[in-house]
Amino acid sequence: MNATASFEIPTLAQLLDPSFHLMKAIELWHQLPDIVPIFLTGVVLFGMVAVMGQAAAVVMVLMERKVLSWFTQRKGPNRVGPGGMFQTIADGVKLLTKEDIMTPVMDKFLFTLAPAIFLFPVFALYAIVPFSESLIGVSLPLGLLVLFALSSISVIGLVLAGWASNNKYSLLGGMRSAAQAISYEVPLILSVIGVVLFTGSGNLKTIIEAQSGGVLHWYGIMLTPLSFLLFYVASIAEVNRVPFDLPEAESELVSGYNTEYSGMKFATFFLAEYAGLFVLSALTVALFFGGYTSPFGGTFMQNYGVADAIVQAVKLPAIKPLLVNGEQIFWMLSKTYIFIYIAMLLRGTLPRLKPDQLMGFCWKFLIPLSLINLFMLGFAKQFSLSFLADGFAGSWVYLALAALVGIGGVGGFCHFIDRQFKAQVAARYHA
Amino acid sequence: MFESTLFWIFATVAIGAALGVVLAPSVLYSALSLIVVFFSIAAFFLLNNADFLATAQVLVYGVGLTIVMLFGIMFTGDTPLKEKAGKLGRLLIASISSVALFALIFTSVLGFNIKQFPASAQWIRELHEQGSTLAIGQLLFSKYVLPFEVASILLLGAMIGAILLSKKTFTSQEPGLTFSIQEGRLKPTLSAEWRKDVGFVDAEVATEEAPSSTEELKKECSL
Repeated sequence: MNATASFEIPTLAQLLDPSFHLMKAIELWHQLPDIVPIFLTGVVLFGMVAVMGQAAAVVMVLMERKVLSWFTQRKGPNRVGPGGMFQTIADGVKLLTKEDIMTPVMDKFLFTLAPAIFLFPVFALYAIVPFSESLIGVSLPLGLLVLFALSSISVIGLVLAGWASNNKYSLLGGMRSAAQAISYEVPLILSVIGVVLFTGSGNLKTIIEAQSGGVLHWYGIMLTPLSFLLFYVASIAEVNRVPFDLPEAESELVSGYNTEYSGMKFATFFLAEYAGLFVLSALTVALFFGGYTSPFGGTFMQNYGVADAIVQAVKLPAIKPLLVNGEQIFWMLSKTYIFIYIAMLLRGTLPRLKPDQLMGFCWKFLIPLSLINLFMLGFAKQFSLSFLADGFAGSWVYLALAALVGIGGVGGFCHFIDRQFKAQVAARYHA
Repeated sequence: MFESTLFWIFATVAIGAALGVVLAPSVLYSALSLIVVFFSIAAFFLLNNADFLATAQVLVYGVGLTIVMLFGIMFTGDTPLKEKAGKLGRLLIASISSVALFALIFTSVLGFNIKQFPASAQWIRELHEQGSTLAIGQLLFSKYVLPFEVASILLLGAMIGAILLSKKTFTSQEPGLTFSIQEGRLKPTLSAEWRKDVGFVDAEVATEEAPSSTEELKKECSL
């Protein structure tokens, strides 16, 4: 790097020549310290992915309304555009132009800050989601830990939103959400440890590559199905969706922490929730369902020479990585949308829990179950590593154990809830 | 160049936010400034290739700890600080202890010789590729296993204490003997039958009746 020596005043002819500027730019790019190009590439990739996430959130809102209306035998939005396609865009425009109401008793600074604190970690999470081999913002060795660190930040936003609104329903909603998020983070982290145990890495790309052999190598199917169930339940609770949507229980808390919000600030909360659902579904896929690899192992483009054939037909070798990455993005997104659909299915099916049931479910059921699961996985790892590495005989033993524990646990929890309910009914009759 | 620029930015933010913790008009804003301080410290860790420490800092201090503090503040009410800061004796004790703590930390930092741990280029490359988790885990479970276990016992004690304090009453296995916690003090109460059996008569204790039958106890225990 020799910045001062290479500085010369360019002539007018040089200034008018575009190729001169291009050369200068390339020269400058190479002169930068290593970290700057890496940083900038990361920023550009992350920007692409975040815009994709934003678009995904808009699509998901429409999808949710359509799917729910299908469940309840309605037509759903069908006025704006063909089949109601532009409904969410119209909603977005409406929210953008809506009046931003702030009452004088609010803490205006925190009231404005809260949606931003809620949104930014969710979008930062898009940086670590591997959509394909190349389309990943940053590939960190501690990707999983970063995931937990970031997803925990948004709780602060909820609590502040509840506080700054100066409204008791909002405050209660914020408190509930914080208690819920802190509690459900424990099974979320404990369930992922099994995956890390078998992969030996917290890097999401390494985890995906470990399961690239097809359906039989996916952790969620063969190795740690119980971990997957725990992770999925806990992640649905983390994004405050039905049946865990107590922070916005409209029958008791008006609308929870976002009661006082209107216009774009409300839209920010809304957007962040859907973006969070998308990210967590994508991470479920990456951790337990092979991420960007196809169900038959690898990608079709590489396995069956499809990419090579196309490259030879078009005579453009440069498009090969494009084809491979395109297929990987296709697999990733389609699997992710399956899990988003399951979350919507749950919303259409299950009723909301009571606050004490919610906490009891986490502390008395999910956490003990995830500890038992972790113990069993450690056991399996210690004693039948060779089975788990190539064949799957060992994992069938684990599967049987997990099924037993799972059935026993669910039965025990149902019994627990039932007993509690009966005790409450009995107490009410006696009093 | 780039890294030192980042360092100065985060250092400024950290010191500004630390001043904010002390000078903020309300406790809530102090807690929020504390969050900013913790996050900028996490950034320092990142600049030194300590990625595990950085994420743990965000997870434990940046969010976990401060959420608990925010809870406390919101349940007790956000009172302006000026009303409480009046007592001179308290201020004196606080300033002396904080200066002593600062001196302790500062001397230990001065005594630490960074050149004992030369960072080779290969080592840094390994850190970039694998992260620092492996090294930290090996040290925690070999060289520093005793401090690690002692810290875990401390945490266990804190957890049991928190459960004890948060439960207003809890009953022992034996029917008739109730332990209740009032103003942070453990208070055992015997039921009437038991007092008769033991031959223990006390007018003050007798006013408070513990649930005698097993049925009532069960009802109280269940939510």
